[in-house]
Amino acid sequence: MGTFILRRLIQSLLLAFSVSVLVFVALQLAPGDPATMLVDPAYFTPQQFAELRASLGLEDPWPVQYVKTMGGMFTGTLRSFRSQEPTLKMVMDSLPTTFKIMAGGVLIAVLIGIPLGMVAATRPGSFFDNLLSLGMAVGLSVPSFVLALVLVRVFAEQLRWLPASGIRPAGASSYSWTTALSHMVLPCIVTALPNIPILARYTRDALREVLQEDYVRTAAAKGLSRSVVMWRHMLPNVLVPLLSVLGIIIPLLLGGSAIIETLFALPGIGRVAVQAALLRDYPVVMTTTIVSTLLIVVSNLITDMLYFIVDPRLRPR
Amino acid sequence: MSYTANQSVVLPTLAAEAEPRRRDGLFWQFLKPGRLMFGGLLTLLVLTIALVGPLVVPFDPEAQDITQRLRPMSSTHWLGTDNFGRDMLSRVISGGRVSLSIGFLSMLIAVAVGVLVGGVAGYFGGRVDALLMRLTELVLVFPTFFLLILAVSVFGRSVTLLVLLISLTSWPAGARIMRGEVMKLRERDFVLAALSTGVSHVRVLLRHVLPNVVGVIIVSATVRVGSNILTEAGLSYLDLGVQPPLASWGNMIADGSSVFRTAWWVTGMPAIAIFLTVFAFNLLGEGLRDYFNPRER
Repeated sequence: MGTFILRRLIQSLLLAFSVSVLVFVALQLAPGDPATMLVDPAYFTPQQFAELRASLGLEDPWPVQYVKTMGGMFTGTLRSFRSQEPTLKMVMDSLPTTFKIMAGGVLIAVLIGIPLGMVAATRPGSFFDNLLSLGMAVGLSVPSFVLALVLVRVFAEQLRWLPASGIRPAGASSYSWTTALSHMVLPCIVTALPNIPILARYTRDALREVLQEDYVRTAAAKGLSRSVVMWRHMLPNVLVPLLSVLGIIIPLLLGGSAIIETLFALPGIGRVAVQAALLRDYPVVMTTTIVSTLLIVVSNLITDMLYFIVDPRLRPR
Repeated sequence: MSYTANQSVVLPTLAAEAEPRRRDGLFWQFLKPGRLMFGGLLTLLVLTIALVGPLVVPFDPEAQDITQRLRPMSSTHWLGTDNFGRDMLSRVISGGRVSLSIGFLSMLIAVAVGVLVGGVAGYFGGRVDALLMRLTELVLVFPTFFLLILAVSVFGRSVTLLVLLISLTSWPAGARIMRGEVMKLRERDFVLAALSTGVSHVRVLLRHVLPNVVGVIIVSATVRVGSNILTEAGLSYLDLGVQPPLASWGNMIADGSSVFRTAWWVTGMPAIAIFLTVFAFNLLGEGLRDYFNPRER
């Protein structure tokens, strides 16, 4: 077990390292002087520029440059050339917002998607099952930003039930947690929507497979009620496939955060990345890419560990 | 509906011998009402409009007419006009050609790479497999959207780059499916038999393995077109994809969102177009999946 975790850990580190190298190489391949990529020459005097080139060590060989850039990122000497803030701090400050929206979205998706999948699994071929698969195709076909535009139009502008954007009321210094929550409702719903069909489908398919297992027939044969069979005998056994879905969903959620946070003006990592890209603020874009990759690597690692907690049979001996 | 379609599979193969020309080929399945038929018809409709539409529409999609700004749907402008008085119908059609081309081209590249990587990894196994799967993992941990944002900010916006990036980030899913299928086939008797008679690996892959995975490839390719269109739309909506004046469904929605309150059709029409197109491909993909893997339903 220990050696297995260690191996996965090393693999993850290697992955993260390869990604950072790729990002670094991409920046090197870009047209123009890397120094002009990292700072905006318009804001810098030639002397400052020369100093920067020296401090970036642009005369150094690539590996040395790579280490310096990455080191600068983690120690905070790599700064946004717009706000002059350390890039890592900008990204770290944005993460709580992103996590809140992701967590809310996953929660909604789990609460709706899994029960839908359970009902569909027990009634294969029924009207409900067909309706659900139609609903899944519909849910997967709606662009999230269109859904967001419509929801904002209806619930924020027409009905005035929910705020349209931001993480808190504009200009407010103190506000209740219900207000804070109300700002999260629409972004979380938009985050959840495309994941509901994914979860429902995986739950349904996994349950249908389990339905054919001997232990389910045994449980039913000894007279247990349907709900006991479902909740006690079947659901625990579909947790493993469902966990693997989480591994698929998290990268999707992070990607979706770019659109959702921009649309709802939420100060999360996705919006930081988009705004930095539009301003050609390369240090910030680079940091968001690397940090979000690290997040995915870590979440994959956690998912792997969870497999072993949920299903002892998978534990390597 | 799909269940009636699958019953022929359940019947013993003797039935097939008694009636040599069974009507359960792909073509006949399209004639039965169901996902395959509706998805197929809708896809055909979308493709026809995109191909024939520009020859028929009376307006130039780029021609501005400031006197006709934000007109609602009428007999002259079937889908209304946008902020610059451009005809929405013409724009939805020409934007659709751009979005569909990006979706198709990136799907083709992604499928080609996915089939090659997955096929080789699954067939040869061992070190080759381990190496290729590490590569797949590397692409999979890359948060696609952030990579796209990074690349666009470094290399600038261009349609070619968009197609390349979408395909480069979307091939791993197909590669994994392909690998799984090929690994299963690798141990089948007919493959072993072919190998034992001295047939070359390339020939075994092309003649014995590939025909058996065509279904899986077609299914994943179909769904891929839809999701690629969504990716393009998202990027263009964020102003990181297709650049105006070239219209794509994504940047049309972005254009219209500022006047969404007063003129919903400027956003609504391209949005409906995206939805119908992606829906068509998803439905078709589901239908094809039922046809190729009847047991999975």
